[in-house]
Amino acid sequence: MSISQSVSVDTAISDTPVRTEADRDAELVARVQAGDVQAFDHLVRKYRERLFSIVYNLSSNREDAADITQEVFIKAFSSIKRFKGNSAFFTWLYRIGVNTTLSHLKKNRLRRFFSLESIQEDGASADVLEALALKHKTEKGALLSELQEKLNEALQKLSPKHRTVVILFEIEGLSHQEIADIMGCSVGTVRSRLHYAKQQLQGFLQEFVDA
Amino acid sequence: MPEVIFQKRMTDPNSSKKITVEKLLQLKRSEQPSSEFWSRFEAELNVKRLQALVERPSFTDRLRWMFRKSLLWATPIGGLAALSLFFYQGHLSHDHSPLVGSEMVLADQSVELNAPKLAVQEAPVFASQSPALPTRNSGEVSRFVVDTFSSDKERPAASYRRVLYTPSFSVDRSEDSRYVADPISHPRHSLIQQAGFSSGRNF
Repeated sequence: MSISQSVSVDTAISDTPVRTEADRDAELVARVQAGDVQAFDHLVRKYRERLFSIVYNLSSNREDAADITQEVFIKAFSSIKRFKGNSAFFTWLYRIGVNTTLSHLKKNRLRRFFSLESIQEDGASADVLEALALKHKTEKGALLSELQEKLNEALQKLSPKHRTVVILFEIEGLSHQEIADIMGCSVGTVRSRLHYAKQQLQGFLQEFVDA
Repeated sequence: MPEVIFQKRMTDPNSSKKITVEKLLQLKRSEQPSSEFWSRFEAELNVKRLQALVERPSFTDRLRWMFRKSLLWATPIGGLAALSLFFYQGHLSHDHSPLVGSEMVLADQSVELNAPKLAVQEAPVFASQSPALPTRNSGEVSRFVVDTFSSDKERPAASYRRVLYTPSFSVDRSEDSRYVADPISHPRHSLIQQAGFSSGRNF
């Protein structure tokens, strides 16, 4: 679900929900720019889960992800006066997040290890796990940890740019245009990276995926 | 065409059970931290934000920032400096050429040499020319002659330039004789200038 889609659920009555949401963000940003520090807390609470999710899936390390997410918010807070509102606030914030994470990964490429969050079994994930357990004839708990590890391994095998596109599209549910804005490339580039990345993942996760 | 595929998928009961890469990736959405994590996260963030507000950048940070900024300007400034040096040197070499403010005067040109003494000592090429200058009685109004410009005895070479000699300006007192520098060859020397014996500019 893209940001704009998720917003439309919150404000279904409004005619232009996306605009309203963007206006709310713009209003909060204007308040922060005017010196209202509390307004920034609203922005933090609104975007922390999504931002953390992006950083976590890029790094596959929950401790690093927490530190980087905090760093991103500090960076955004420090440079919010330079935010002119030419793009949506979340695009700007996610761009800082992606760039900070990728530069962190580049710096620490020699000391990397997984530190994973536990998967909360909700409806969608329970269905997939059920189907996989049936297929592999194994216990669900063991399958879950194996699958989680394999998924993270497969993602980490992708190049940072391909990984970013897959995470933003498949996990975060952003649109091609939103991803293009965040990554500073064309929509065509996003599509081709996504296609290539999925092909790669198909190969890496062959044992779990139905032909 | 996509609608047809979509309808087929909707009607096909196996399509929803089929495990795809997309479905596996969506499992990652369920990897969420607990609520305690977020309360700790918020507390840490507040501390870091306060530190960011209070802390000034360290000396090395500022130095690094200045270095990075200077790198941005180094190339254009360096280029400008090189260009200005190039033009300045060109200007200097033009001004300090042996023939100040004029094109080179060759020995076989029909110009007269002034200041015979200096010319003999310092510029033997010109010394071979007859220093016959026009006089008031010769009927000539004015003529271009070569004037020694530098009277520095320490230096073996003197500077010369072509000037318009007007006998009527010389009057009787050669110390007060005047000449007009060639305005065609160099506009800077177009003013009427005083010449004295000591500088060798007398006629």
